[in-house]
Amino acid sequence: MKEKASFGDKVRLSYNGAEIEGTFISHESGIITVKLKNGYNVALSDDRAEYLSVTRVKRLSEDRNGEREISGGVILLATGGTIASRVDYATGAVKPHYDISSLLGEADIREKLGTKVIDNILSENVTPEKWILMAEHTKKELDKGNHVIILHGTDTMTYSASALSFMFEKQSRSIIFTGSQRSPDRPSSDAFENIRSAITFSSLNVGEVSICMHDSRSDLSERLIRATRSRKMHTSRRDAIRDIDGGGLAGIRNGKVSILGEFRPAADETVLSAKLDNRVALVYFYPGMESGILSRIAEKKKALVVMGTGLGHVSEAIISEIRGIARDGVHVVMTSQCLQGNVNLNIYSTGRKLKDAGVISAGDILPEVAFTKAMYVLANHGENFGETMMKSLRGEISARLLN
Amino acid sequence: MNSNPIKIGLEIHMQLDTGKLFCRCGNEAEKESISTFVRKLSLVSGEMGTTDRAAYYEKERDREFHYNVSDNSCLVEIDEDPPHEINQDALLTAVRVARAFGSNVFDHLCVMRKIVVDGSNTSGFQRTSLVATGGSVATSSGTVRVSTICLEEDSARRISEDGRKAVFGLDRLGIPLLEIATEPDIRDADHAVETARMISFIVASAGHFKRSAEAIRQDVNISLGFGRVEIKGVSKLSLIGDGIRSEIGRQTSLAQAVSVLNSRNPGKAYDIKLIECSEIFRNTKSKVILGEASSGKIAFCSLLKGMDGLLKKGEFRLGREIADLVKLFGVKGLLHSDELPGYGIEKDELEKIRALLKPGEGDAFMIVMTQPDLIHVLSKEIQNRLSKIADLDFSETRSVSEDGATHFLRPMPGGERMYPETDIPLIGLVPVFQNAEAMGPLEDMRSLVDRLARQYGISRQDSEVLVNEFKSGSFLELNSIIGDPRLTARVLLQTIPELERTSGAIAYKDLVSTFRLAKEKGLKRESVEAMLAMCSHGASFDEVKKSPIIYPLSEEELKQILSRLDPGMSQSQIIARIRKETGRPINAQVLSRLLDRLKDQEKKSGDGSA
Repeated sequence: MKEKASFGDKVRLSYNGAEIEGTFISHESGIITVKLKNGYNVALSDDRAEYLSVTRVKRLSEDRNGEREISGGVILLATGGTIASRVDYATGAVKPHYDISSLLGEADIREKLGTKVIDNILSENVTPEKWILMAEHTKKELDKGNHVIILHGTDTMTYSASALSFMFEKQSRSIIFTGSQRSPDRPSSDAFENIRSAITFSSLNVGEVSICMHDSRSDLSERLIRATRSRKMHTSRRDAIRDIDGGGLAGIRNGKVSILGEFRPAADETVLSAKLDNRVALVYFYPGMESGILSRIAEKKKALVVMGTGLGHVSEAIISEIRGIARDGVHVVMTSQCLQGNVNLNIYSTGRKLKDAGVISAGDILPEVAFTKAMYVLANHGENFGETMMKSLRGEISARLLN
Repeated sequence: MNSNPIKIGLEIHMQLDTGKLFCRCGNEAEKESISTFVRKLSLVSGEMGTTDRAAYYEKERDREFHYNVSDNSCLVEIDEDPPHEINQDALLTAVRVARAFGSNVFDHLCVMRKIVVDGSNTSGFQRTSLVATGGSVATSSGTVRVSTICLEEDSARRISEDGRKAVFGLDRLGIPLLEIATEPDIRDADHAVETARMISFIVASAGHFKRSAEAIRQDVNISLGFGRVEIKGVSKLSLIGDGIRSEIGRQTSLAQAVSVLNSRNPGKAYDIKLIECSEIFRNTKSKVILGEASSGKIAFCSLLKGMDGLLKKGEFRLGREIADLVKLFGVKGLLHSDELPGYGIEKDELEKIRALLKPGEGDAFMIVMTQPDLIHVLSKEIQNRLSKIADLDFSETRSVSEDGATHFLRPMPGGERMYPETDIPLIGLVPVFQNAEAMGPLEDMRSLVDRLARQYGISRQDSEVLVNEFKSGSFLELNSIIGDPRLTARVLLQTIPELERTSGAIAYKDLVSTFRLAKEKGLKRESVEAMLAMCSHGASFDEVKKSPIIYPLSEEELKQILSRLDPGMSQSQIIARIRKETGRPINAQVLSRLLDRLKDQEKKSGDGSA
């Protein structure tokens, strides 16, 4: 019998002369995966396995969408990412999952709580269009009197959160991004603590878009970070998202909240300018970068954010190319690969030549933040691009550097 | 005695000294705590969408886990980095062992996550994979079938536990464990010990096994017809036998207690309602109550319907079944009416409790000291446990203490506590088969004994003991360091067992360090023994290395001592005296040379004066 079974069916197979009995998981790329009664999965090469019997088992509906509307409380908006991911049995990999109600079972929460799924993608697939979508959903919830917690993948969380930060010129309630570095299907997931603390932080009524994630490898403390000063600094640790020079707003330790830095309080109203011009590119300069690359990238773009070396340098060889790009009306913004410290184009001759070529420098702004800011400024203050880029709009540029 | 036949099965877990399974850290730690961190574990759904009973139970205890980061652990053990490639040596060993049992080895390995939320795994799961099924081992009382052979990660070492806080060390986490499970074909305690010994030998003979305190752990599955009981983590062979015997005794008397209980309580209503009674003990003199009250705990009491005389009287020990359970929730003292009055509790206090609970004929009661927020969970858990026992369902997971007595650990986990390890793709075993083929079959017990005796010139008897106690791997490794088979055999068979009996255990890594230092400095047996004695008394190897005690007395030092001694003493008297005075090794050659010279001088000076 070469009958095709489907997930959850009871199957019996002969394999290498032995009989294997269990629950059918998948049959792909020549491998039949069966879950045995003792819980183990076994993978059998299908050229040596033969189905002896297949008993269909009716599967429970996978649609356990736990959406809940709310006003005057806290709403969780799910966009996907590790925090909303589950095991995919077809491939054995982690994939996005829609049911976020399961995340709440763990949190002992007193606030009125709602949930809504607005998207379901891994964060590397997020686009500027998605940021506008997130912003519009967020606006609707703020207008209902809700604090908004956005569940998002950590990989591009800084991009999304800073884009929203620029688009929300005023906000009447908290907007907090949170995520997890260990998926919630694991007992050791950081998702539960992160969500719980984000809910606690929301009552601080911070009028800036911020990020709440673990502050250390322990499940004891979380940190609220200004979106425009945040960066993912580790591929896998729980405390991967750090504040770079002065973005720490508040901390929580064993349920106790402490204020770490100044922040803008929530306003009486919400003003959203849901406009971005996505004709911006972000480029990492490297030694020996051939001329021609930047011009090709700059084609059809309105702004180019360059991550230069040190104080904001690129090689002599491509300065004239940059001059040409700027002359053609593409704004060139210089940031630093160092991440920490100011860009300064006055110190070395290379810097002066870049300045002379029309390159804009914006203090200690982080490269990814300069990238989303450029999209916002192009769409909303295009006539004053250079001037607006150099001005701190959402705390993205430090007036004084202390570290 | 129950008429059902006793069924016993074993799960033997043996550590492989190949380095850790999913990262490149070694098996041994030099420093056991270079930093610490704290985690909580949350309950998750199994692959089929339901949650596991044992996992739920751990979660209910709402605990905080503290971890000591050892220097043989990296971000993988801390659960801050996904697993790396599987350890190929461990994989090869698993395949060779499986073939030795005649098991069917799968072509692929699916690494699974087995949910464990007791904190012993930082991830909340143990990585495990099924390598083979089937096969058998031939014992003197018949064939015992092998059911499964798994390759898995060892758990973190539990250092301490206090109510809601448990402390673990990461040094052991991630060490490869080979698990051999048998069918319930074993007949009795002695047969179990024999089977365990034979299985352990086969694993040890594949190399990559070093005998140490935690290197072998056995789980015993036993059924007398009241459900399966799993006795977990038995570290010594002799404890397998003792544990089985005491478990048979416990279940037999428990079954008798249940038949009395059910005759008194036909409805089987075991409503546990814990009522606060701290007012009654306001002026108590009971040290148990005062002690617990000082840490913020409050007295609660409950009726135990129909249990008078069954809690602790004669053969009956139902009270211990409750005490073992509540202990897991940090409740240290459980007082019940079979033991009262006692523990400093006065008669009038008992009268007040009776007035509160109104026990009828055959009823008992208990008093527990606990945090008030645990009451709901505690009553429910006690009630569940008593109802289950009353249904003659004794299935659960138990532990065994040194005296052979077994203790309740947790309910039996369901079958649904596993889901795929999504961070590791399928692992193909075909290349491993080729390597296993090239290495040939494992050496059997007799030929290994012969080979050790012949090749290393040790006695046949020593060789037999080394093999029987799974110390041949350690022998080969240590001898390769020092190149002195007799000394190596003596240390493994005499020095260490003696020291471990009289003072304390010696870590294998200290043994290796001792042999290395001895080789490097040309130290002899007496120095080696002095070093091991220090290790056994708890000294770190750094301390040992710096201690003058381990180095033999220099010629100069010997000379000085000899000058003070009575010249009339014999050489053996002198040695005994020096030993007593200095406690340090004596180089016999140097000493006799000095003594000879002294005699010569005496002779000369004697001649001179004449």
